[in-house]
Amino acid sequence: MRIVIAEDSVLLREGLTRLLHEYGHEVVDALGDSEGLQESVERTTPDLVILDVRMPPTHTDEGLRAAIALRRNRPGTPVLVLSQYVEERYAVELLELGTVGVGYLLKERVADVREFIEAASRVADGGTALDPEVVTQILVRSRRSGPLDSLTAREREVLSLMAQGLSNAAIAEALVVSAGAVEKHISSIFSKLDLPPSEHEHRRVLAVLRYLG
Amino acid sequence: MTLLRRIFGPYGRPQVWKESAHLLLDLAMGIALFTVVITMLSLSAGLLITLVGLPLLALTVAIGRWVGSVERARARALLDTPLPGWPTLSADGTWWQRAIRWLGDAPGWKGLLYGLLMLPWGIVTFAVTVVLWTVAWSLALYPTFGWALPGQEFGDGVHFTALEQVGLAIGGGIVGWLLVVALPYVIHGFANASGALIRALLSPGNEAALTQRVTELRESRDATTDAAASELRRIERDLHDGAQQRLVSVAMNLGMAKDRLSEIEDDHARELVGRAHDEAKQAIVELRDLVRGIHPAVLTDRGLDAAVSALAARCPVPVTLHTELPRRLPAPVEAAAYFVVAEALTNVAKHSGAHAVTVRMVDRSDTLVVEVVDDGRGGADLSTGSGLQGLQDRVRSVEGRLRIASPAGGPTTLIAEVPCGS
Repeated sequence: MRIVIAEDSVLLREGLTRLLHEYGHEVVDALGDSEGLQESVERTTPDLVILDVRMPPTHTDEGLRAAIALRRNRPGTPVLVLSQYVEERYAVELLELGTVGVGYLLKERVADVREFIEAASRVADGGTALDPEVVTQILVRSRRSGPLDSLTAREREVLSLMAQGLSNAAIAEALVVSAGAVEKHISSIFSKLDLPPSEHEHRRVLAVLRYLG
Repeated sequence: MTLLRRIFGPYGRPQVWKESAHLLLDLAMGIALFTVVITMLSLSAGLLITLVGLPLLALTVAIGRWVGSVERARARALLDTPLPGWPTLSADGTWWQRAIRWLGDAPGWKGLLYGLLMLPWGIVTFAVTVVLWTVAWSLALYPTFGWALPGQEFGDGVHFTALEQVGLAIGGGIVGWLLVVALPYVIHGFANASGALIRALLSPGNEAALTQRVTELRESRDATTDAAASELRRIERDLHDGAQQRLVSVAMNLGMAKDRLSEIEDDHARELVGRAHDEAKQAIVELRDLVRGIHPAVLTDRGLDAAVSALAARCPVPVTLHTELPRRLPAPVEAAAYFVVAEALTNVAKHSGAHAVTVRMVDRSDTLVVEVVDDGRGGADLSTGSGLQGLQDRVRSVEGRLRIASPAGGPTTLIAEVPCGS
């Protein structure tokens, strides 16, 4: 993959560059803030943009706003947002512009290097990668609206893994059940939540998140 | 001894002397102020037809204010009555606007009225003071010098016999000593009246002064809270920019090392690096929790709603969240509400044995109401749990109220109400 990084901490910027390089990816540009991001992406046309939410000058959500602007100008540009804390609205704002190639992870997930690289590749390939904590938070939020009350505990688990961007096979593996069982759970979830079934992984995530958020 | 102390005691204290001095000075002040006020008033009234009159009148009112500060100083020095002064008049605008402001200045006009009243009042106090002191002490001491005076003749050549003179001396002495005893009290009464006049006309009075004091205290408290809050935010940012980033970097490098080591055959090294990796990740989580306990970044960046959703998501007991928070609230209010929910949820998870919690936050434009209800075993008490006590202090620091209803057997309801302006 050819990757652009925007991260204000020199330490992490260099660390990420080294990490991605180690696993055979090329960092074509590494920025310290979100200012030149647009121009850089135009120039390098990367397969993936990784950015930190909190960057100068205000150190609040520059990265997120840059990611949203980027996806508005160049729809479909895969974006992986790293955040110090989980904020479900960040995720919802990101996903509102389409779920093709979107990731939102806690920054500390980079420590589990293999999983991180996998998530990055999934996003670059047009998939999603949502932090488990984001998913939990969205589920908590939606409890007030009630539609999830009808789900069984297992179906909730499946939904949560689905929202993280896992494939059916991966869900089956994580829950130690057969792929058929997972299929059954998913169609049950869709019918309970009144969602039409769809082929694409990200569509499911979008539908679920839209419904929840 | 007690009799002597009763008679002379007050004279050994400065009070009676200072009060007498004050009452005597009342006349001097009265004459001076009356002259100045009458002169200035009639001068400016006479010139009112021309333009010069108005600024002159403004100046006269300004003198009225000045009278207030002089007299308050005198009351503080001689009557031991410290009185609060008027709030200063704004000096903004053109000199013309200032003059108009002076003309409508109630404290100034009250000062002028005081200046006029002081002359008759000063005459009274001067007379009373002088007569009382001279009569009381001369009568009291009459027996000691009466005998030395030449033979007395009263009116129509009435002559007293020696016996009658002794009786007169004794009687006068008794009356004199009674007056000596009464003098400090009479003087004190008049001094009080003098002080009351100053308080009534030249000072905003205790209630207004208390209001002003409360305003000052509130401002200084707000400043302190703000300073503390911004300091906490700074600490949070420093930790985030420094230690946290470095730990993430360490954990990432260890992760890479661990991944590399999985390809070579050295179980020991692999185990060591694996453990270091796990500990680094644990340290990140601990540091994150610590920072969150100081001041969560999400609260600053995204507000109460977002921060509390995060809390709810982390709570092991299922939380139902209802929020009506249409706007960002002042930072101290948000922080107080956040920590109320945080502490309440921690308590629910630790002690209540509850199966479900409901958190409700409603912004009623002048009050933020935070309600945490669980279906646990109850028995929570503000006076026992130190956490709850700390919460109460926190809520009080923003003038809020914390109430808790937790009968044995549950349910527990915790309600915090925090004024949040509008």
